[in-house]
Amino acid sequence: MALTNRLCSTILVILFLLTVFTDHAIGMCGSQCTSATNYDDHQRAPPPVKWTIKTALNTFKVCTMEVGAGETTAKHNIPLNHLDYSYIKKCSNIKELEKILKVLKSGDEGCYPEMETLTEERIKSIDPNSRLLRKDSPIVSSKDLDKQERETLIEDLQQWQNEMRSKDNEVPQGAQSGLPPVRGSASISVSKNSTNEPKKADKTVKPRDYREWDKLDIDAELAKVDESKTKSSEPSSKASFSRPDMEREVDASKWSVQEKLRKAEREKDKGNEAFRSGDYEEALLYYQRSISIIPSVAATNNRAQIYLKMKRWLSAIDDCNSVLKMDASNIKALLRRATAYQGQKEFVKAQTDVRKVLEKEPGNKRAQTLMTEIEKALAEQKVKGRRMVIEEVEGSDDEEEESEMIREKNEENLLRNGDSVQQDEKFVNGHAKKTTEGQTKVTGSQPKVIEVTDGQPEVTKVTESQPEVVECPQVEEKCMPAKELAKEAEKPLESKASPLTPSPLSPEVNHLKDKGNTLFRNGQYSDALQIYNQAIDKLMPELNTQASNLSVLYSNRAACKNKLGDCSGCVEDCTKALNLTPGAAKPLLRRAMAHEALEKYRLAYVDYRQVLSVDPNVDTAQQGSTRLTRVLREQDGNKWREKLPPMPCVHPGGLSFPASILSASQVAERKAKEREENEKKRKHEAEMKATFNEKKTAGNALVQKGQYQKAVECYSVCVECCPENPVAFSNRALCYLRLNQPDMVIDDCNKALSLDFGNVKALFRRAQAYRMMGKHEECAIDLQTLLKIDPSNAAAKKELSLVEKDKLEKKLLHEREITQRLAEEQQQRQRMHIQEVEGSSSDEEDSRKQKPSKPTCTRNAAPCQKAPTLQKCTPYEFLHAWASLKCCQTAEPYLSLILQLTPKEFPKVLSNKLEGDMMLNIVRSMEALYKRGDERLVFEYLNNLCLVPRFQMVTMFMSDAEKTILCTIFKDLAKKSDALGLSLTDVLKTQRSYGI
Amino acid sequence: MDKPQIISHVHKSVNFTLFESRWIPCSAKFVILGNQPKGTGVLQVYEVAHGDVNLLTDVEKPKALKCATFGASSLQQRFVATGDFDGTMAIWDLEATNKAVYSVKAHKEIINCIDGVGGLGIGEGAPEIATGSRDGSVRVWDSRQKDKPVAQMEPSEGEAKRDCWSLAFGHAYNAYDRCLCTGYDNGDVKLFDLRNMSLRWETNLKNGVCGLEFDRKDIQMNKLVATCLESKFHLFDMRTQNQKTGFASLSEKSHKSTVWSVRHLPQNRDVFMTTGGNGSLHLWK
Repeated sequence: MALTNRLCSTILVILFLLTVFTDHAIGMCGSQCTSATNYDDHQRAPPPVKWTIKTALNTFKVCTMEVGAGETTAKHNIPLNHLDYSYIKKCSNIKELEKILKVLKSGDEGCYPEMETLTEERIKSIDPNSRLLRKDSPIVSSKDLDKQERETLIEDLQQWQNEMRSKDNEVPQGAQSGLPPVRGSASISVSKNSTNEPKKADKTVKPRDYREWDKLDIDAELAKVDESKTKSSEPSSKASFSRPDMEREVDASKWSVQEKLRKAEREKDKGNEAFRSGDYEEALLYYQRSISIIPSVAATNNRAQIYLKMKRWLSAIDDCNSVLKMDASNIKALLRRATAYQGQKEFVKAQTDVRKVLEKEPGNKRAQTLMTEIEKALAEQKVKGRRMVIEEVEGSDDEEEESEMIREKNEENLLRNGDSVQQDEKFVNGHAKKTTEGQTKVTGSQPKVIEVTDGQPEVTKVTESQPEVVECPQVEEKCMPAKELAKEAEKPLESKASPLTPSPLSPEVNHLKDKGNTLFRNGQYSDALQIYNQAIDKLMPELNTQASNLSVLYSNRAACKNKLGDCSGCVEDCTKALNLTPGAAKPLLRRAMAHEALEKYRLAYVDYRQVLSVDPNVDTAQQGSTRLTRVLREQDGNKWREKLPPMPCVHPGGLSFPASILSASQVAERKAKEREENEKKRKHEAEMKATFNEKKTAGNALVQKGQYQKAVECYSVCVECCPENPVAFSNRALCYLRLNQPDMVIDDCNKALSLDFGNVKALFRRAQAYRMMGKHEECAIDLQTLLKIDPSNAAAKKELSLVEKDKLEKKLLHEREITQRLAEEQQQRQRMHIQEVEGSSSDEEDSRKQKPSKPTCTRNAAPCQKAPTLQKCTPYEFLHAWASLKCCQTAEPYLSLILQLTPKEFPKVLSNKLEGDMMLNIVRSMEALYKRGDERLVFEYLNNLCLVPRFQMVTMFMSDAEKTILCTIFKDLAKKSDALGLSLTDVLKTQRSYGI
Repeated sequence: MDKPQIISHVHKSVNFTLFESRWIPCSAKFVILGNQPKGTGVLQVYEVAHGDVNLLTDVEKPKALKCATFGASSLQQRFVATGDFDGTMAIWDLEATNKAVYSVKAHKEIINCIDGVGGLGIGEGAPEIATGSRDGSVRVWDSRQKDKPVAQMEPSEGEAKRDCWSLAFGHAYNAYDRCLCTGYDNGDVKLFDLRNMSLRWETNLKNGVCGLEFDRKDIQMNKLVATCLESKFHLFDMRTQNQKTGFASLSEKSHKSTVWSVRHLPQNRDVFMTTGGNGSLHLWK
């Protein structure tokens, strides 16, 4: 009925529409709105009519659609014909079914209880958890229940009441103890932030105009969508709950039994819950806590279950046993133990346990399934077991054990005396033979024996590397992490060990070496040194065969000497070691360190480089070489590399680091070094004066340790010994510098400089001292001279820049003072005048000092700048140079800059960067140029300036001053045009283009 | 009985507005409290016996009582802590109800909610009582410290003071860690970490939060149920936290009216019951 009603109404609407359209154009009915507007444009129909047409069209369309799709319900938009038994039976769309049910329940379309139940059943079959199936049931009172149920219920309740009452009476009396302290007062002020308000969904911004669709970047939008997708699919991290501060044991000593029981029960419950949610770790924790309070059957049994889940069979068996001790007939525990045994593959024991269960509870399903599983496993095991027996016969356990024993023994022996390789071989072979004799089938054991023999070189390697490890501690004094070095040391060692076939040491020497190593390790360096001496003496006759071992011994002795402070001895030993095994990293590294300690930086540097060429991974060497690079640069200036002694080519026999690895630059370096070598040597020899050297090294060592006062004493002795050597003075100056005695520094530096004018170090130190005293001028002078001698001295440059900054600051301060004073003394004009003269004169001095050739600007104290020379006539270069003259008041530097350009280049270089203030400066410099009498050039420039792109614009903003200047220039030019060989018309034309 | 059913054993009506009812721990007794029509507070103790409830104690207090908890009292004492319409938090010995064991003017306005932890062997650490009030602040009290809260969470100066409707302790799995979750009338839920004294997490549920409860107070936060106006409640999984969206949550519509409160089964944390404004009870798992 409803349907027919609606249909009638729609038909009425259509009829109405048709009547409307007949007045205008019936043909329009099915067409689009656009055609309506077209019609509107052409026919110029009155606006109200247009509106009616439009609305009519829309409504019409909607109506036709409705008629086509059929009638729907008012609320959920369900087509009416879907409210049908056959449809509901077929429908599997849960959403639709739910909607149908809602419609039916609402009764809007009539009451159909049968259809409702059908829909409910249908929903239940598809989604049993549907919300719509939830029904509030009236609360059941005990009277509603049947008699039996009511009785059991009342019984339960009574039981509970009694239980509670007894518990109530048992509640412990007395004060509670052991409470944690009261929390310290604290407060949080909650500030509102964005999350407090319900967040509004981000609205997509719709384009307001159709044209904006064109601008829509589809790729970007797609990317956005992707992004949001990835964001939403970001895995929500399961908060990892580590429980570091949760105690596994609970201290229950203070509690009463009641409390303990309650607490244990609670912990067990928590464990159960955790277990149910699958968090076995947590469950285990709670069970443990529960058991630690009071061991209960349930908790222990449950813990066993957890252990089963975690496959910790043995723990599970333990727990089950303890449960069974408390309750021998606990079926759960028996079953769990059976499972644990099964896991342990002890099927027989498992079987007995399951049997016990089945005796007590023949119908236990779990036990039955377990039984069948175990039986199956047992049957399998029987088959397998036979095979295993055969295997056992073939390669018995004893055999394996034996071969293992042999291996162990071998290793022990080898470790004890690394030289007895041959012996060992025999030993091993002997055992192998024994085993072959003892067993009928050797196949299993043979490869193992081979393994052992293979292992020999390894073992010997171990013995060899032992002393190397010992050597490491010496580095500690050098403030380097010993461990790191040990690691590094091992690396080159290994590479070394393989190519150099290690010849076995005689037991005597080996013994001595070991002894030396232990002594070294214990810090008894002098004793170790003696032992090494002996060892070396013993080995000396076998120099040819024992080269590598001897080298190691030398290297070790070097370490001892280094420890004892005998750096030169160390160097000597290292050199010997290197002669025996050229390119060995260890002695090289050690020698480098000794050289460094002896302040022979160049040699040290070369050694470090060599170490790196042997093994580029040695960090110590890398650090050392970079450190020395710095030192050497400071010492010898930029060309320090040329002064280096030659780097010996590392061509150790069979060593895989030929010189070809070295980069070409390094080779070139080396050649340069060779050239300088002789000169350098001579210089070195001249320095060699025994006491002097000794004291100097001592002083240097003290400086390195930071004991400057003592170092000063040492150097003083040096000075006495050799007063003509500037090094001692300069070094002493360094000490004074560190001791904050600048005047002493200056004294020493002066002396050093009087001996050697070009002593860079002394100059630098004096500069530092001056700076310390606040004498920036002197400091700057020193640094400048230094830079003249060595233009690339980075440290000096840095220092100079610092000084300049200081000076500038000082000057600024000075100026500020002056202006202040000026303001104060404005009335006293006379004095002001004096002041001004004072200030400017000092500034003049300053500037003259810096750039004596420049004319000074008299009016202002601002420094005059020299125009920088242009490397290339590019707009960038020019503008950069121009900008650097920004604060210049005179036209002079600008002019010089402009003169670097030819007039023709002007438009190109200025390009579109011409601006008002630039114009002003150009005009002023032109004036200056004009005054010099170079009229023709001025004209050229001015003429070409007209061709600069933004010229017209800029001329419009020229100030009067500029215009007058230009006016005079042009007037003069016009007058002299003939004399200068210029046409008057050209001049006038140019003048006009300037707008004058 | 394959399906759980709710059976009412005893039905008894009282002649006052009932606000709260609590079991006295370790007994078959319970406490109910509310306000008389004349504005005074009532506190009654009943005992379940022989299929009926017997009134044991009936006390009248000058101010209407709103909420109560046993959460912070020891098993030996079993003192009930109450909050009243006047903003006073008091602890009563049920054996001697004429004078409060501890009393403090906790808030300027009505105390809407109260919760305790650290007593009854539930939760480790100090026994503490938290009160939430209409004045927007939440304060934590220790009965061993007079007149001064041990912690307070207040809206900062100039902020609108939202009515705190519900709060719940949780995360008290060791002596130091403890969290307090509070729900406000505008739908805010805030989780405070009392160990660090910091706001740990907050969200907005769009409807006023009437009830909050952790499934367990004395384990590491696991589940939190927040019940709201307009028949919605939310279940948060406090162990699954997303960087941006916070804790994973589920929401459910039921009761067709305000869901006033939620209670978890003490024996099984996975079962809880919600109470609806239309008098319905829903049991969830």
